[in-house]
Amino acid sequence: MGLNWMYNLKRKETKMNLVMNKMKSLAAVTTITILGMVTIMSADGDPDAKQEVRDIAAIKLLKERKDISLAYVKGLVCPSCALGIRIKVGKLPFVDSARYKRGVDMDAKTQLITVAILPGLKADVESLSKAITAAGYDPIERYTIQGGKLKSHPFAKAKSSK
Amino acid sequence: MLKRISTLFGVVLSILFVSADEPIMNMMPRWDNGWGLQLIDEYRHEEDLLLGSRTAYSGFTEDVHLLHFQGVYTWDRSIRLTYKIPYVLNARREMPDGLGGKQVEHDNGIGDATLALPLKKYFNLDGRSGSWGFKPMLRVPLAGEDNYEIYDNEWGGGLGLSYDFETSRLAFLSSASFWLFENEKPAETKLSLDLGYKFYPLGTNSQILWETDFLYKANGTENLLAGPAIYWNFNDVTHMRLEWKHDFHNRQGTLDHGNGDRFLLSLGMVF
Repeated sequence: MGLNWMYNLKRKETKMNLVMNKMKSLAAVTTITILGMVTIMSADGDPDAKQEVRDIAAIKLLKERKDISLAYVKGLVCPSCALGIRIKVGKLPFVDSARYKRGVDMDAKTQLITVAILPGLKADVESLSKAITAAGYDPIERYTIQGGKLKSHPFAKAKSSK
Repeated sequence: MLKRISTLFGVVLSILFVSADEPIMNMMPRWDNGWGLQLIDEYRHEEDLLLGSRTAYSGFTEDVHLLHFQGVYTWDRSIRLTYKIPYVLNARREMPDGLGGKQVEHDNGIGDATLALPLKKYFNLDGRSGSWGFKPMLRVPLAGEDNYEIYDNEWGGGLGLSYDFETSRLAFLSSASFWLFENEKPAETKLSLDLGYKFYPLGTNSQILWETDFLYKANGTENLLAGPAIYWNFNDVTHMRLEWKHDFHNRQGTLDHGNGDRFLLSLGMVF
């Protein structure tokens, strides 16, 4: 009798454990699915990356400093993504690597990179475009201020993303 | 026989959990001719000895402490070469001795290496960047023999598929890998889903992630692990990551340890 009681209790405990395990699994899978869906839906482009926002940021940066080259780099959405850009662009002979980080600053929201140019030198657009492509990103256009207005200069079509 | 099979389980589990990920936290280097090194300190504690979904021996624990030496070279942003060499600092497990008690077994030394050739197709969109990946993998037997084996000195071949993307705030990574082994080990499939949120405290670049792995083996073993991870990027060279995963669901096809947790501390350097 006593043994039966213990056996039944043990079986109940085991069943409870199984139910608890299943609940935990269900909770985990549900949480993951919800988070996944939210991520996928919200990741369809960042609203801060709209062209108007980028233009405003570009005007502000170009008015602040003259000794820079400013470019829109598609896909450059995280500071650690800029690591490769800094390694490749920072080596270019016209870049003042003492300024910013290795001569390059970036904004992940607007995907703008600011390249510090050495005094008396001009940016070589072709080598800048090649360096950005080698870093794994797509150079789209660079910006200047002409007659107080923002002017964009598309980069020549670089090697497409692999 | 039982011992041998349970040993195989331990081996398979320990190999898979790290081998599905790529060095330098799956992220770098994306640039041509970039390379990196990563050291991972892994500690794992399993609470019980399971058979199916049932706890066969409660309180029969397993503790494993591993170091993983990993490296990556990016030839071109679409082609990488990676290696992973694990080293068992100390592994200890409790098994039934057949007399109603416990016997303690140990393992240490080098484990089996994994070589991989991740091929990636990147895409850059406005505010979003990511890649599709295809990864052939090779398991190279290097492990020695002890009275219990974390790595089992066996050749294996694997294939991995991945899809990931990130925005300035969010990161998403999904992957699947499939392994076949030379001898009697069952085929294995692993699915991973990582979700991350980026933040930038004190000028650093950081990310909080929730990571989920599901392992299925042809002999019926199932394991669902999930838990948080945090990533820090202090400067252009040094990257650190701390990870904790808990066993939410364990089903062992044969007698093996389960119901546990694992902790990983990773330090990566890229150039």
